Amino acid sequence: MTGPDAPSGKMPRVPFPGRAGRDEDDPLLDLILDRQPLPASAPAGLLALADSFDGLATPPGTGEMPGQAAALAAFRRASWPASTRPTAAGSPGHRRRIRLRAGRARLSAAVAAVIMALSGTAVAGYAGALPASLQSFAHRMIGAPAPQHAAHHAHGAAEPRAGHPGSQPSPTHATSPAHRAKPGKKKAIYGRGHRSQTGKHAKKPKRAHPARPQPKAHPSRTPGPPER
Amino acid sequence: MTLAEAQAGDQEAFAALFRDIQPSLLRYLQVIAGQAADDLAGETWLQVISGLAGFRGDERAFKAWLFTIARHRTIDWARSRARRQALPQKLGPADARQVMPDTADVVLERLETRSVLAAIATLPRDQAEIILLRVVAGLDAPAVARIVGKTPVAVRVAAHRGLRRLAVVLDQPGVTV
Repeated sequence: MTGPDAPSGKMPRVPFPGRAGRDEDDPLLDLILDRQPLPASAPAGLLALADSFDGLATPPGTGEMPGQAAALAAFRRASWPASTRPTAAGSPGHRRRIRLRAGRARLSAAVAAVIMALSGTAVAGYAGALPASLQSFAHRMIGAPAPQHAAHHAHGAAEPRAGHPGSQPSPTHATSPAHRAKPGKKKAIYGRGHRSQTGKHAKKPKRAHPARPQPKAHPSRTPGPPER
Repeated sequence: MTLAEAQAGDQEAFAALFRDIQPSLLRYLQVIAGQAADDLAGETWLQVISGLAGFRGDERAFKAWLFTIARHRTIDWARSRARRQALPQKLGPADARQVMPDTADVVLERLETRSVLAAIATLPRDQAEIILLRVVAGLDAPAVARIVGKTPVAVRVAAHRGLRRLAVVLDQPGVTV
């Protein structure tokens, strides 16, 4: 019977029989794998191995670049898919059709934008929400309320005052020379916006705000002397 | 930048990539697939081209991706060939030995590129493949580990074993480099 084995601390650095000297060349083998130069003191076998591997990094010899033409052709096909190849979709006729279609779309968008802007301006003109110069222009062109008229109209609609319930027209409206038409006689010249406020309200002129300046009627629209 | 230009459709950039990688790809395939190397390289490039626009990574990652494709194409080719032929045939060094000169002849002739490849082809397949990917393709150990499905430590061990075997072959008397 023998006693227990010696502790590991008493048997230092005893290599495995099959691995004697193997670990020492591991860094050299790593250098070979990383294509790094070996030190001159390296074993001859490893130096020969490293030298032989140098040939693997040399430029390709004859016959080592086959398939380049085929690969480039495949690359061209992949880079230029059939839908964009010049022989098919890139023909002059196709490009002309694309340009025409794009031009038509742009024209339609522009027409739609103009129509929307004009109708918006017209609505604003009838609501009296335009600046004075524009309102005056709208007054002349489409019969929208005159600027002063429109201002009072908008003001009255927004703030109904006591004593003027509902949407009673402004007194200036009734006293305006442009609105002193014969009661009941509609004036087609002022268009729809004006027509709706003639007649009934013109019969009852009130001077609720006498201090307010009297707006001048448009010179070109000044009616003639009142009929008697 | 060559890779990015090739991905953008630059033909010259792609040609430069091809010229840079094709030799090492062929050397790798010649060892693990023998005579089918040219065909497999072509199939590999076709697959690379089809996926080139969607690839994300640098040129080192691109090379690893390409060799992964080549390895998969080789495995598919070996499986289909095994199905066609009733008798299963080993892929790799055994296959390469059919077209490479005999090892005894290899060590007697000057170790040029083809001879070195033939010597590598005498190694067990995993060792040969790992040495090719490390030395010929220039990939690092983690990339090779991902390609062959091993840990980096296992890759290092296999590569060292293969190199020691090769060193013994090359150290035989009469062998000149």
